[in-house]
Amino acid sequence: MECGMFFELVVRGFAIGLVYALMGLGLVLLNGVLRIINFAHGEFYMLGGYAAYYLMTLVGLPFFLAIPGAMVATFVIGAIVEKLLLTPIHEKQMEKPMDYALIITLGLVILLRKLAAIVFGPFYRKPPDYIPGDFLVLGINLSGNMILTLIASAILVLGMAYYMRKTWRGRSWRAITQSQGGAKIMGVDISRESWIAFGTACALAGGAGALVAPLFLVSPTAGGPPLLKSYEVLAIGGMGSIGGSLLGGILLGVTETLGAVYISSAYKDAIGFVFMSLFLLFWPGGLFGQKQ
Amino acid sequence: MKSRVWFLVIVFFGILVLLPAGTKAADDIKIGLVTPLSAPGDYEAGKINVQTVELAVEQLNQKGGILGRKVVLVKADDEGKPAVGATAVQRVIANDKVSAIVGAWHGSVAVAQAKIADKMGVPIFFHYSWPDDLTTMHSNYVFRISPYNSQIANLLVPFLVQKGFKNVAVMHETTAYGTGFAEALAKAGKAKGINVILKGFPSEAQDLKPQLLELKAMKTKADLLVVSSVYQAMYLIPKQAYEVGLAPDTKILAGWDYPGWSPEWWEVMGEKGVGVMYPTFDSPKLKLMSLGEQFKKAFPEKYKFDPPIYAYFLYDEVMIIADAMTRAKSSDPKKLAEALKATRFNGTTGVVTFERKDGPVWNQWTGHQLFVLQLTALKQAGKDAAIIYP
Repeated sequence: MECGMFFELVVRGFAIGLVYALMGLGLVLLNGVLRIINFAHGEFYMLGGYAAYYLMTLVGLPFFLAIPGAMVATFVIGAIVEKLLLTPIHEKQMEKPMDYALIITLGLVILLRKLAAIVFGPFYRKPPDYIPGDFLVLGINLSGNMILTLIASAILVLGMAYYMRKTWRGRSWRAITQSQGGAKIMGVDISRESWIAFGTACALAGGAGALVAPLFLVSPTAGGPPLLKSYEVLAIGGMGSIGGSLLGGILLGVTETLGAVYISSAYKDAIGFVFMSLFLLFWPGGLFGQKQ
Repeated sequence: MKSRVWFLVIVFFGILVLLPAGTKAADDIKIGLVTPLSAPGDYEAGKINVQTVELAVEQLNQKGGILGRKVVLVKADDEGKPAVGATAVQRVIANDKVSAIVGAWHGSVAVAQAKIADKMGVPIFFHYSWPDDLTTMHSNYVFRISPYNSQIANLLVPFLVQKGFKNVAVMHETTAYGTGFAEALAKAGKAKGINVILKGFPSEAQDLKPQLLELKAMKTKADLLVVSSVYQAMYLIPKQAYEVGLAPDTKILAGWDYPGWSPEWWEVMGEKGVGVMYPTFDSPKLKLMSLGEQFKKAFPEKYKFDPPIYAYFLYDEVMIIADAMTRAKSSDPKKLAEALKATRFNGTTGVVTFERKDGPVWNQWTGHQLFVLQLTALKQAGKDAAIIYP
């Protein structure tokens, strides 16, 4: 096999892996702080895509305002969802918050998808190219949209890692992850941090959706594949680990891309799934374990 | 006291039994319309299916119905899922006692539905579901006006030969439609000395670049890329083919119809959409019978847009059901199935007969006309595209 093609596949796998990492980042946050599984995570990706599309085509915003605008919109929707539906998890100190969140968020998937189909219609939408044209990077032709996605994904992932380490809120989220009771004693308002964390996780998903909208299009069912990828990243990288999300996403992206060419293109997604399964079998904690 | 209570109970049930049954809905002829009406099914097409059948039924009822009886539609949503589609067919047969079923869409769903209808002995029609499997089961209750994969491949190969394409890559979704069409084209192409390379992908795939890069890196590069998809890949493959540099050197044949009418095509492709070819069963050259001319006029009068080709085939189905019931003098599903075998109906685009030979030609119409069009200007509508074949 040609070295040139192999190198290009690795680079493209790396690129798509960073997008996966961004998708998984929100779940890492949710799992760590709220200790819940959110099946509607992919739907916020979808909503972020639509938000960017309509902010550009209807409101006329440039992309560098539309993408943050999409993140703000999905933050707000996420925060409202948390306050309305998920507050009982920490206020009532449930025995099985995972089960409750599972049922509620499954219902939310159906609601958001059907609502999106009614409101936005069944069409595949593409916002105008954020950065038109192609650019040569390491000898590979990459679209301006992909380069922007790479840079923005890297900034968001690394920025989140910094935020978790260096800011008061980030430290309080890590404290909640270790011990809710202990965090309360230290003055952390669990109720307030919960909706902020949930909103932030949704904003990260929305940001991913907004960034890749010109690459992969937006539709009411666009949230399905990213949800699966997010959980695969979580399993590979390790629950609660941002570094794991980054490395896990990249590994998944490269494995799938190479697997599609050297094993089978029809089973590209299955190859990634098998890769994740190997981690679950032999390295169940993921690359970087439970918490960071 | 006790005997008085019993007396009242007997009188009550006696009244119930003796009361007239009200309006005898059993007089109506019921036709099941099972089609995608919600996601993840293609509910855009489903809506057009509903509009087509409603128009046909309205016209039939204006003329007194079938056998002097009113025609009533029983609608059900298959959501584009085989399990839901099969259950919907089962329900409209068992609960609503429909005489026939129309409207099926997605190939994978259709295969599940055909098995149920065959088992329950009710005719089911397919107006645009392509898997060969639907008719290779040789059921007495499955009737297809739609073209089918191996027929389409055989109709398309002369175009490939005429244009001199020697190495054809087919990127196909791994569904009954996609894989069936790709394999049929490979077989038909090979018989004419054309090398056909198949690349499958999961139907909801978003990143098709690995496969496109592999095609680009091949020693003998493909001179044509055929797209066989119904989800977002139908837009993403042409788009990403340009992004990896496979196109425009490798020409694109976008299957099927959609570049000519889809509002998303130009939004996704922009200028790169110019020059793309697409196969279709419709074009300004399509020969219409008098029923077709009537339908072509009546549909936009009611719905304010032109009907796609599959609407013609679906309209034919409803009219053929009416014709067969009239010949059978019955709406009984079994008698209807028997009468349908002898159909010779002046349909919208040709004389419809249900041939029985071998393989997928079983209760199958084969009178389709295939065209290949090419978009020659930005934001061009299908009716203005160049007809490059035949």
